[in-house]
Amino acid sequence: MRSPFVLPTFSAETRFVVLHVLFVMFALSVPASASLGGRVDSVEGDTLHANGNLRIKDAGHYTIYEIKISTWTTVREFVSPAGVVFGVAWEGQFVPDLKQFLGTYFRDYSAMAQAEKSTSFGRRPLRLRLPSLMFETGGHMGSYYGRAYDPELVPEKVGEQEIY
Amino acid sequence: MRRFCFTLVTINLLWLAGCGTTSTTPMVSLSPGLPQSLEQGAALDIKATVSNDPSNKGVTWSLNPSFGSLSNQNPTSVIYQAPDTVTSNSVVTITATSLANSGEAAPLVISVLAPGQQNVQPISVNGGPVPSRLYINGPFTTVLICVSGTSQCQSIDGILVDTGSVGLRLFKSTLTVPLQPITQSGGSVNNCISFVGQQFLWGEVASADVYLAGETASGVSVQLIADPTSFAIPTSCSNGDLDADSQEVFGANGLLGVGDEPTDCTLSGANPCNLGSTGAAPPAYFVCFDGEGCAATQLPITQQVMNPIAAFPRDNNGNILQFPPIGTAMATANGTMTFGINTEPNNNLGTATVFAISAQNNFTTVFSGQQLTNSFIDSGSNMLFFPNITGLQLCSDGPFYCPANPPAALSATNEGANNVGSGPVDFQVDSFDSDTQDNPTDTAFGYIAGPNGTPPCQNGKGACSFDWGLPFFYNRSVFTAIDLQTVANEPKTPWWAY
Repeated sequence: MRSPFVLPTFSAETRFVVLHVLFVMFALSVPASASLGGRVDSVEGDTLHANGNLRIKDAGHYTIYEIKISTWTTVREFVSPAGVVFGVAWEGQFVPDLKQFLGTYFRDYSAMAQAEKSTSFGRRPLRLRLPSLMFETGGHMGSYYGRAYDPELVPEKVGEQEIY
Repeated sequence: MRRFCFTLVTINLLWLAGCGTTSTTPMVSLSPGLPQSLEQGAALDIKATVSNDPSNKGVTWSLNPSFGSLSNQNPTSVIYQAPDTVTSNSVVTITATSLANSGEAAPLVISVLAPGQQNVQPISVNGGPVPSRLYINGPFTTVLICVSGTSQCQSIDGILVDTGSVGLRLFKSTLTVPLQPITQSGGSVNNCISFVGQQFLWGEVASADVYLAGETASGVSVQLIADPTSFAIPTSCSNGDLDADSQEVFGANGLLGVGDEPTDCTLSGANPCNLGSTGAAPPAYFVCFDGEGCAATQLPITQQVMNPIAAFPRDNNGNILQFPPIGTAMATANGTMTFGINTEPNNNLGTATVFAISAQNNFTTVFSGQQLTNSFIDSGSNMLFFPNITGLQLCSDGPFYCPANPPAALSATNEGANNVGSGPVDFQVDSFDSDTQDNPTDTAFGYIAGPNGTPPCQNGKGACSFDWGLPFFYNRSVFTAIDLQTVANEPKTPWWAY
């Protein structure tokens, strides 16, 4: 019998370092932000602004915080005059971390999406509606877009079609 | 020794390679050693060499399926004769089995091609491979996949042909050949793709040789769809969506992504997954360690899940999907995927109109006065999906259109990026419920559609777009030209044409 050759193995420490470095790289480049239904933290916003990852636009009855996630996705948070995020929209090469941006609405979204999609084969755009969550998404590999908002939080005088 | 070896295997599977056959077992090898393709009427000489065969017994030959014939059989060689008439591309396996030890054998896989079909892959809308539920408007094909650089191959049917994504993805549970996984820093490399935010596919990246008709993509990365057993799928991949981790959920044995890009992370010439790209690694590739977890990572483009067409040595700049007219409904619809554009007598652009696409691989569809700027053509969408600007009635029981009789006769205009390409498309929308209930065993439907986004569409922004799914491909030739490749005498890729 040939003697078994030994493949390079990596110690637990090496693996920890590899994962840790990758996690830190990821964390540093994905801007922290408020989530749907939450409040915008101005300090956080200022930090992002300084890094060039954030543009703030006054849209009259609300403010848009546009967050660039690296080169591949842009997220827009729609913020009421009271500082509450009433809508989130995204577009880009990849879907952003929905758990981060949907916040407390993520669980409802997930339950609805899974139930909806398990009913028939085939790929199609998705539209979900609950009293407190409207969710739409579409596109294809390389070009995804979507939006989520809480109709109960959308300020008066703001049309739901403005959230995109 | 065997027992010692077995113990090592249980400690670390990677040692398996060192615990192979002992030096007294005959080993069969064939020449040629790699899969071949042959035209009708052609013959191929095959030679067998058996090591550790002291009495020179040689091999016995077999052919499966019995398509063509074996002649001049002897213990060291055989001639395979392809049938004189071949009407559709087929795959046969010739096996040489050691006479000294019938447990030792070597296969040679041969693609037997119909005349002029070396670049033509049959596809069929046939309901798909899951017996319990029909996959409506799913175009399926069969791929031949081999361990890189070997003739250890497997044909897998029920693979969905998707011009809306890139890369070959197979359910690991269907695999019988040991494809070589890609690793990074000793961890496994895993790939994640999302389907418009509702369904995701997770799995290890492995290298394979992919054979389609008479074309070969050697050493390309593919995704082996399977849930991990020793770490969790990162939430940046799952995103709360449905885990399409089985054929029963996904509806296919795999996905053959033949869209506009060479890899699943390339867009407009850039590749944020590439090792050394600036910025964060996107949630596409992850390096994972058992018992510890995963982190998004970057890896060389050559290791990324690849559009097999872009890896062919020829006919590698795109594809043409062709289907006959099918009217309201048909039991099945047989079509073809032809490889290459303007590279062979059978793949010329002809009178088709080229539509340039944007940096995001979209064009504009003007529908009912709205500019839908994120619109696209996609064989992996099984209906037309567009915003309900004209007020079509929705089905009472599902998210599709159910206009009352008569069916809706509609029209839209597609406009390519930078004003390259423009033209109207007339289309019909029937009641989804009526068509599917009246034809319950049919699998191809020409006039079914559903909503996409909520009007008013703010000139195409947000979730409003026109998704020209499979019904658009019926009665058409649809060309997809791949980014970073060139098509002679035509605009810079990527583009669509029809």
